[in-house]
Amino acid sequence: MEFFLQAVANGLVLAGFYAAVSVGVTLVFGVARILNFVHGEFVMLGAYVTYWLWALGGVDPLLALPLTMAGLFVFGAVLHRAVIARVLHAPHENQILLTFGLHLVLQNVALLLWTTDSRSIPVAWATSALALGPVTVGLGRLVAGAAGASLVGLLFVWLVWTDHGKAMRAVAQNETAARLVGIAPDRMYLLAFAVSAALGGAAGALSSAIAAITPGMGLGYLIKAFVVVILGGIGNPLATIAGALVLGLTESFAGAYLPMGGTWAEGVGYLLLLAILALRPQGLAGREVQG
Amino acid sequence: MSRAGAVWLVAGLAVFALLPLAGSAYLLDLGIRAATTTVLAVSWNLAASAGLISLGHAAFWGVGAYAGALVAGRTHSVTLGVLAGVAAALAVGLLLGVVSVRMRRFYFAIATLAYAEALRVVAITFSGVTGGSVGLFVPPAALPGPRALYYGTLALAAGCIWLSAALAPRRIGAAFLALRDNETAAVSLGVNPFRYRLLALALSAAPVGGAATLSAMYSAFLDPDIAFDAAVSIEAQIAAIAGGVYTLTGPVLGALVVTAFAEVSRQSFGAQSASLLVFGAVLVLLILFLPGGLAGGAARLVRRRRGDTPEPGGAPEVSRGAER
Repeated sequence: MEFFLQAVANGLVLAGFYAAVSVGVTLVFGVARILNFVHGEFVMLGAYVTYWLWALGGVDPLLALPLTMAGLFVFGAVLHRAVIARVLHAPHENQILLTFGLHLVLQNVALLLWTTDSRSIPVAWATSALALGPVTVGLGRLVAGAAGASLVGLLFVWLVWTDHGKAMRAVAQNETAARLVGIAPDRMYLLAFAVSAALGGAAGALSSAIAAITPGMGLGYLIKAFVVVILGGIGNPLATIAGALVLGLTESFAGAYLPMGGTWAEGVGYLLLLAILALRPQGLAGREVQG
Repeated sequence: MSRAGAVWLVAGLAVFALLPLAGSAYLLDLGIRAATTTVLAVSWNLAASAGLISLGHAAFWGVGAYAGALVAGRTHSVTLGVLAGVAAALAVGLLLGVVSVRMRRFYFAIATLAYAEALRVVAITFSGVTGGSVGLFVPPAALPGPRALYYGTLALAAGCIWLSAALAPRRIGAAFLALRDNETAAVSLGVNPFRYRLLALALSAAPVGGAATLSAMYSAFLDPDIAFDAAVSIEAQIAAIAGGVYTLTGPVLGALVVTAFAEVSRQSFGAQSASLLVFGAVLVLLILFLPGGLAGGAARLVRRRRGDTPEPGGAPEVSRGAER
């Protein structure tokens, strides 16, 4: 029983973190209908910003979180203005190939700047463990999971109750109607992309205390984000949480119960993705999406 | 294939067939790489012409390379190895196709990206067959010389070009194009999207397996990171797009340009990451400013010279597959 509860706890913690990794992909797709293959690089850049703030300035990763998010917000806005905005109405093929090209550029710039060396931030609190009744959770992972889930919650609150959030949902639902009531869709696309980059950066910052930081880390997180948003149904931020729960728990249980669990835990996400795409291309919860 | 096209193909082949006579090992090496990239680009373009944007041709490459290297290693026959590589890639293309060609465009791209990554993990895990991360050496008895490898790859490239050229004017080529441009209309005309897309993916995958086998013999070594290297998928699409996607000459032209480009950037920067960086930047710039590639740009230039009004469909640019 304790073993089972431990697996559940690990899965929940992982889910919170995955929700933060993925929610940006859903936001950009929901608002601007762009499938963003750059998103993994936001996570990577967030991790490196956090690393350098720690290595050069001694800033704790948790304190660095707002700074990292602000930095990535600006980076996302610039990237949108300079490149993404030009393909908003281009065919999907072009958008896929363009964002994939940007992924290559950012990944390899990172590789040239920071080499293939794997880095980590060994802060004391992250490696300590916390006993919660029958289960034990590493504090770094717990913080990553809780903070990730909180950020997704904040995004949801922002989308539902603030004027900017409402305007963004209006654009997502009907661009023409939004325009008629005085919303500038272009600004909303920019905002969605910048917020998405900030959230990806936050996930990177949270990952930096618990996982290795490498220039190639983005692709793995990108695929995980795709698994999550497809599980939940792409374009729906709330469903991202459901998708993250499925992926987090599946990985955690595969790791706990399968022989050679560690290896399978990584692969199980791919299997889930292929199974879902084959059986229900619109996602578990999703409606049919034209795309 | 038109008569003029056939003449061009034969003339081009003749020039390339004479290349080993120059007696330069360096030129031969470049030739092998150019022919390999041509196979990739023309094959990728064939799938794209049916509306299948693949980000994971490395999956077919990797499976083909392992199957070819293993069979050649056991049988000491280069021919059997290449056939095994082709057959394995074809099988994987069919298998993955059955699962994924029904997907919408976005999801197909995601799925192919995941296949290559997933298969890399599989190759590491099943180390009994693949040698795992340690790698797999192709035994010397199963290794042809560079000249034979060159002619093998060249023949494969010519086969790919001939296949694309032969399909284009036929019902199959028309069905691919119709599916890409407007699936609903294609279905209403009796085109079965599943069957034709599956065919497109299988035909696109098979030659890649052959090229991968020859390439594995060339380097005499394989490991999961080499076999499922994302650079393979990237080269395939960049060469096709740079030359002009959805055209016949475009991917061939693109393959030559990309090979030259990769060689220059390898000599000037050394690191592979630098050439991938340049490739990424080129991809972005192409999509932004020249979505029709070199072939599309040239066609537009010729039309402007002649003072023609732009035809309504425009050059065969990437942008034609808008609706779906």
